[in-house]
Amino acid sequence: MNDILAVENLSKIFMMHILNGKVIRGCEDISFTLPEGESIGILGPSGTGKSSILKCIYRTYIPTEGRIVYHSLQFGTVDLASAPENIILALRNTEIGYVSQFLKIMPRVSALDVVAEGLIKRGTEKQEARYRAREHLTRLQISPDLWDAYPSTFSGGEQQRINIARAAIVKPRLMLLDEPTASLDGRTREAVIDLLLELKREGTSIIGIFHDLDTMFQLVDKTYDMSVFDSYKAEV
Amino acid sequence: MIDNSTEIALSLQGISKIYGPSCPACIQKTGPEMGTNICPECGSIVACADISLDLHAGEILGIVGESGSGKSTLVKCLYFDLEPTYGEAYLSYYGNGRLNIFSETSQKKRYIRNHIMGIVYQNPHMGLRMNFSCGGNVAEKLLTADCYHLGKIRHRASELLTKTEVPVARMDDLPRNFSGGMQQRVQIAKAMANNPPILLLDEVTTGLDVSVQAKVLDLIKSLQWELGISMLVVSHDLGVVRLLTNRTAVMKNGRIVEIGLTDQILEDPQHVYTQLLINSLL
Ligand SMILES: Nc1ncnc2c1ncn2[C@@H]1O[C@H](COP(=O)(O)OP(=O)(O)OP(=O)(O)O)[C@@H](O)[C@H]1O
Ligand SMILES: Nc1ncnc2c1ncn2[C@@H]1O[C@H](COP(=O)(O)OP(=O)(O)OP(=O)(O)O)[C@@H](O)[C@H]1O
Ligand SMILES: [Mg+2]
Ligand SMILES: [Mg+2]
Ligand SMILES: [Zn+2]
Repeated sequence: MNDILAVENLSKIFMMHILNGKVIRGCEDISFTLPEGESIGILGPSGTGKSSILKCIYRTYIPTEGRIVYHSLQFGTVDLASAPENIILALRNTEIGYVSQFLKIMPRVSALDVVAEGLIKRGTEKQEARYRAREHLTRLQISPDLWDAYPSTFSGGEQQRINIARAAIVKPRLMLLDEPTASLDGRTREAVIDLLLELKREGTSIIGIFHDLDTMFQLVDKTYDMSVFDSYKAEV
Repeated sequence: MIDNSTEIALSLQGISKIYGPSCPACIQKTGPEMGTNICPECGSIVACADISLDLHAGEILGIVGESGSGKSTLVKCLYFDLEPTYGEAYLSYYGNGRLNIFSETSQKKRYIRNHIMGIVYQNPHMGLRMNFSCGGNVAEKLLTADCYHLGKIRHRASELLTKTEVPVARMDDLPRNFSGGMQQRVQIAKAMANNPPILLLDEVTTGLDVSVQAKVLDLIKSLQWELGISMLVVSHDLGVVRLLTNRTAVMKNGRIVEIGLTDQILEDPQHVYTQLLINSLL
């Protein structure tokens, strides 16, 4: 299998001008590859830079050093660390999905429309998009009473499942998952794992951070361990 | 000039606006590094300088920055309300993106104002005639596009007001008697009258109640969503920009200090001023 993504010597260093130029290490010298259709789990203690890696790949953070070589369908080989913003936006729209650790819910949009939005943006008929959104909500065990309500009032676990449904419905080629099951109970976690496994079978490549190792080992083919980096950081 | 294959709707190149006599030191001795927009040599005000950016087709681009940073000046230059001291702007919808719109004749500029761009001013008094009925305000704009049939004008005006949720029953009332939120929505209806592909929105939600703000923001989102209009959205409210835009430019002392993906600007601001701005709002 060809690699869909190769992270090469990626570092993210935050320069805090407002704290007199204080420097904070996000992540340092990260390298791994991800063969298309496979999944990798990033693990390590809190604060070692796991979320920073995903945010650099999604370009919410601007990498300080290194390359993130992504093989896209639309543009061929792209270095996500330095690609122009309009290329990044196009890839977010069509190929790369992201479920964040902390939830960003759009105000005043019903759960059903939040989930359907990605499909409509990609040109699916509204009726059909809503139908598929209902399927996803049912599958992730969101009560039909909530479908027309605004997710801003939902519980943490419900919001998390809305976020996953919203990202999964468009079947991205590359899915970035930051603790997608952190606030779920056993039953709903199984439903999420089941959905993610189905995505994977259909070809989605996944980079995930998982709180709970049991979930991780059901989903990933290999792991990238940050604790090595952590002990290095402790020495410096 | 705009290369037609790039899907750029509007391209700004080095736009500057200086109030006052201006001298060779004006640009160099003002800006964020100097912490001022007033030239120490000649006292001119460098309201904006060296503004270059591209607005992509169908995109909403945010412009944020503190009061006095030059946001309204930039927008007014684009709508020909002010004449820029330097700089060029190109529209893909005009002259194949090859003509600097600032050097066109005033007749051509009027055409651009009436057909290609719509504007919503920070101050509704600039955008609306307060002693014309609200339907009349929209009609005035329709007339500029050679729509003279009275029935058609009324029909289109009521269509636009419905879209912007101004009660059609109040079509013949004066906007002077409207709430701030309604005035902004009449301005939006007027700005959209001739289906322009580009809208310039200057602080559309400032000073409105939170619930009214929400309605105006939802309207703007639906305009982009349904009609694919490209928009420049000026605001000093980062919440507005977070909700509406994918890319944001940050201005300070008349300059763009940083431009990037909106989530990157909010979560990984690069410039010292952007960090200050974000931190002051957390
Ligand atoms: N936007 C930011 N600005 C400044 N520092 C940041 C930013 N984001 C992360 N950091 C810092 O970078 C380091 C790594 O953070 P990151 O969130 O990547 O860790 P993590 O491994 O995901 O931790 P957790 O398991 O707690 O989620 C931390 O010291 C954090 O404070
Ligand atoms: N007619 C004028 N003559 C002189 N200076 C002016 C004039 N109009 C604006 N200025 C100055 O130009 C600078 C930029 O003003 P502008 O209205 O563009 O700011 P802004 O970013 O829109 O601010 P706000 O957020 O308060 O609306 C300010 O310093 C302002 O005082
Ligand atoms: Mg994290
Ligand atoms: Mg202003
Ligand atoms: Zn000067």
